[in-house]
Amino acid sequence: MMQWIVKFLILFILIWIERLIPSHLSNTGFIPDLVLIALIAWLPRQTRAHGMVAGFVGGLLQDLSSPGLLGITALAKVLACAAAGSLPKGRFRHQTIWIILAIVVAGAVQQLVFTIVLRGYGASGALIPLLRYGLPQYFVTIFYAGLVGIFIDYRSGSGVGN
Amino acid sequence: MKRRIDFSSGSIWRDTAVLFITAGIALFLMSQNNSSWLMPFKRVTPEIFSHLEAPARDILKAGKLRDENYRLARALADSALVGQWACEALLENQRLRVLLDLKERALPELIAAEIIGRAVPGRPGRVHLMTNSRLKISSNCAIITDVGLAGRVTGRAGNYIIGQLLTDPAIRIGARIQRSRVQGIVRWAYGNVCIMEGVSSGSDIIVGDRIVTSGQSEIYPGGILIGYVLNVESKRKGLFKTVSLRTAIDFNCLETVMILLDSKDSKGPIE
Repeated sequence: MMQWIVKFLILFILIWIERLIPSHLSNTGFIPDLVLIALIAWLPRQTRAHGMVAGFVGGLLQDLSSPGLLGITALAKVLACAAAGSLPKGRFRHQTIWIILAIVVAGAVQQLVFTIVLRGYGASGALIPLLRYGLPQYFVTIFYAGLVGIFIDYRSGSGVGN
Repeated sequence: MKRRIDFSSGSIWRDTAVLFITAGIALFLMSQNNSSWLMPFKRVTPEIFSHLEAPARDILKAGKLRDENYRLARALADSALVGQWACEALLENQRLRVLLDLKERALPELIAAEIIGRAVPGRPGRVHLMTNSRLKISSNCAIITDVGLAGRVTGRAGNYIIGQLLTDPAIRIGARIQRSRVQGIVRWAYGNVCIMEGVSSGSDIIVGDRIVTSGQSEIYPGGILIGYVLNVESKRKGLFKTVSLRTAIDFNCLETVMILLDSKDSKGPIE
């Protein structure tokens, strides 16, 4: 229970940071998806089900922090965590590689969900503007996820699944 | 025989169940996006986040205050410098306008000169003057300003003219009270204060009277303002009054003067 409270607080703080200092985190003006990075970084240490629940909570918090379509980020995060959790964890010596791979998959799934749902919902009919913001954010998120992976490798000195 | 679904850690069944439940809730929330029961949540939660951000935004702004302070201080210093230059130019312009007006008013040939320094160390009453005029300036020419009498020319040192101001202890000027025509001799006392000597004890002098050159001197033309009576002292058994006067010119601020070329007692050109 305590572990979930800590995770909730961390997600809350990350959303707070995302809202607070967007211009300080990225020179390009695109904010990395800190919540997704945290969810992916937690995945190797927990089951996929736990990852999906954490993704749902984090996504719902993100939805609640802005007056947009409620539930869309929750759905995207759940599916992203499910996809990333399906990746084999024991085949990589360094966590950095796994985290980057997982964030590539999870980010792609998330962008796909956003695109499909928003087009289906009619909130954004045009695909190009959606990708124009989504793709740079996707790559910025991958970049920051790589940095997090390097940090985790530096701290633990162990491979994924060991 | 019943088949049991394994919900233990890492079970595919459990993962699938969680996926369907969470995705189902998310889809349900999306379908209810515009429902009235969700509106309070959608309205309140962004406000809560905004309230939480406000103090942190203030702190982040405070971090930039130092740079902003530095930038503003530099801009202020630049502005102050420009302001000082502008003020100097304005004052110089005013002085020159007044001098020009004085020249047009009547007095004979006047040459503008600038005080560039003391001629004798420790004696602020002796100054070096510099002028661009090619006219030959005689010794004993009176030095005036738009306000009144400043002194006289005593000679030349190289390219500079030596002036003796009212603040020189050796200077003596024939003067009179403009109102009552009482005469006396003015000499420097201290600062911008002079003393008028030789005034008989029965003379009509009151504080504030204008003291002008008497015109009986061979150096200074008559009627040039010297100063204003500051104090009048009469000794009980004395024959004379001691009259203190404040000079019309503030010699601490004197920068530009005019040399009166046709003073009565110009002793010929000095080279």
